[in-house]
Amino acid sequence: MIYYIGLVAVALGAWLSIRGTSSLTARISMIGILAGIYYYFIH
Amino acid sequence: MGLFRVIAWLESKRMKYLLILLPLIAIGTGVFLGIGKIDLTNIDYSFEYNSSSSGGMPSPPLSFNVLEQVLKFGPPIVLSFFALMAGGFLAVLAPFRGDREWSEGQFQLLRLSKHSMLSILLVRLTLYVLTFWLFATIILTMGSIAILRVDDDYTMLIKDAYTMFQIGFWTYGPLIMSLGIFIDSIRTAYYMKGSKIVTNIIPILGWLVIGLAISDAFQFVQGKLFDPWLFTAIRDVTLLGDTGIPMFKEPLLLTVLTSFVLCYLGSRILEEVEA
Repeated sequence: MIYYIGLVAVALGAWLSIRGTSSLTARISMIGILAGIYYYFIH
Repeated sequence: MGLFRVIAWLESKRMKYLLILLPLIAIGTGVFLGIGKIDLTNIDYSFEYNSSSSGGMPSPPLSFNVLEQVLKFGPPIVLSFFALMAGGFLAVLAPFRGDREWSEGQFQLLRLSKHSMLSILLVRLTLYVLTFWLFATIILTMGSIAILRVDDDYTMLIKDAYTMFQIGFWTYGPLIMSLGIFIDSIRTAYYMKGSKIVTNIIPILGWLVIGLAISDAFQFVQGKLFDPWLFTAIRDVTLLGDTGIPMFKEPLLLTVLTSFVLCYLGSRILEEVEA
């Protein structure tokens, strides 16, 4: 269950990250950070 | 050199509280280590052992020796440790700029001159690292002097500890500072649009994950990529030769490369935000 909640949270975070800035590198970095959080703490 | 001077001036204006706090911590530590001469060495810690009545072997008073050591060397070690921790905390916070500093646009103005964002970030990194290296070295030197004043049998131990600290600092100091600069760049990219939640969460999450990822990557690269043959090869071609301390130059090399990459990514983000 927590995996799915985590996935939804990461997807929401990714959406916010993409909307929040115009910089491509910042978007990629933020998605990387979110993916890292998912990998380290939820996966 | 001109850029270095300009950024040093800008950073000293920006971090004036930090630059007041660091000497204050150093002076306070020095006062407590040097002037507060509570001589704990004259206290008699020896206890009477009544070994004849028990009839057994007299046990060595090991625990009292430990207590004596702790009382002798505790104050300088604890004081230096806390001073270094306080300095380290400030060091971690140093690269982060507030919204106001960005809107004042000092670094953007520099960018409009002939300098690239990458060179600006690299100069900032150098400044932070040098500032905190100076602070840490002063604290460590004062701690060492305080310990040597108590007992000068520990010269070699202190020399080793000193060397280990310097290696640790140069291995992880620039890395942590460049991480701060990188995360600050991401933060900058987000507060341009005023998204407060994302802006405030980024530093915490960023430190957590990037720190873990880099630590993992370090271990992986040291284990897999740099095999023993390469270690010796690198050591042979360096001019300084073998320092006697294994795994010294390779992590340093990794740190320099990683710091450069992080600064490059940070500068790319800032350039894209400006565009």
